[in-house]
Amino acid sequence: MKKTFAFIVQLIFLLIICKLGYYLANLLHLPIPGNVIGMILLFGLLQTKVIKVEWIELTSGFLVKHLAFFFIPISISLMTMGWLFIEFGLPLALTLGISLIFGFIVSAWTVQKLSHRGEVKQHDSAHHNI
Amino acid sequence: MTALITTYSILITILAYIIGRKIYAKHPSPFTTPVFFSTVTIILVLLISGLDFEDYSPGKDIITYFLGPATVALAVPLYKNRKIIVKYAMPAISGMIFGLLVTLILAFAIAKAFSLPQFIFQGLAVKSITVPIAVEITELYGGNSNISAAFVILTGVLGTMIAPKMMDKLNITMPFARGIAYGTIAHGLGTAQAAQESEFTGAVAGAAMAIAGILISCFFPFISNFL
Repeated sequence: MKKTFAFIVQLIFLLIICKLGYYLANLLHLPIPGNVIGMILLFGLLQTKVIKVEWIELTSGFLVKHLAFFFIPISISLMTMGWLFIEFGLPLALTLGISLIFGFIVSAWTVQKLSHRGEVKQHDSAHHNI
Repeated sequence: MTALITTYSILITILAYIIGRKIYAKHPSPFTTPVFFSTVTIILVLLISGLDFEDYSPGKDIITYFLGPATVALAVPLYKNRKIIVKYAMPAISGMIFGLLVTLILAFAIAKAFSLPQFIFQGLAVKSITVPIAVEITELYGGNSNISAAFVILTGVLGTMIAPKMMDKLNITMPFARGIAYGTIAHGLGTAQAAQESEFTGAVAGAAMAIAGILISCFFPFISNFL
């Protein structure tokens, strides 16, 4: 019971931050959507220690864990896009699929290679210091 | 009646998701990723029940409303892992920029090779970024935001289906690298998949998704010169 109450209070808090994000995005004509602004705002509040992580951990942990759920209804909208796939199915699938695969490989591979090199360098300099 | 259909829509969505998660935990495969499994199941259930997307829409709006606070909540794992993210800021930014460039150039080149119509190119330009940003950018430049949303979702669903195994095979095991790729190329759906791998991977993906969205928003006028 206490936990349910805490969950709802934390959810309302996150909703307020989100609304504030949309309000700011609108007010300042930012090219970034409000929920991302809200995320930056909350990060700022945590970083400046205005609020403690423990105060919002219950609800935010739940929402992050089940983030995929909130995208399901948007994917259902694909059922209205039948014409697009009938007309351009195969070329579209190839365009989206191939660009996705190579985007993933290049992005992840770049990060992994550069980070490992960084680690080795740090290791080396530590060694030289000795 | 509408209230009944809305409740029904929300219930089948929750049920499909719970079942999808259970099946994925037992038999992980591209076709059992919760979003893909749930999407196919729900569309089938709607069709069998004689309902169309318009009937499902009110339920969709209620669930998607919580996408806002859920995105905001990503600040928590981001905060918890801030030190490591700052430490690897350079590799992260490089990975994001190269990844976005490669995916965009390839998409345009292949679409051009198939001589796909012009309206498809604007959708392709925003396919890797999260739905709310993608829709806003296309509308800002007079494109078809439905097409953009469809490409974004397809990219996300394909990403969660193909990427986990592909990265395993290519020995991309570093959670930080996986997180950046998930968030950069497959936005929110990728972030959700990343969060399933570990809380840390999810946090990194969330940060990458936000930054990729900002990058594309800033460079879209430049990209659209090439369309």
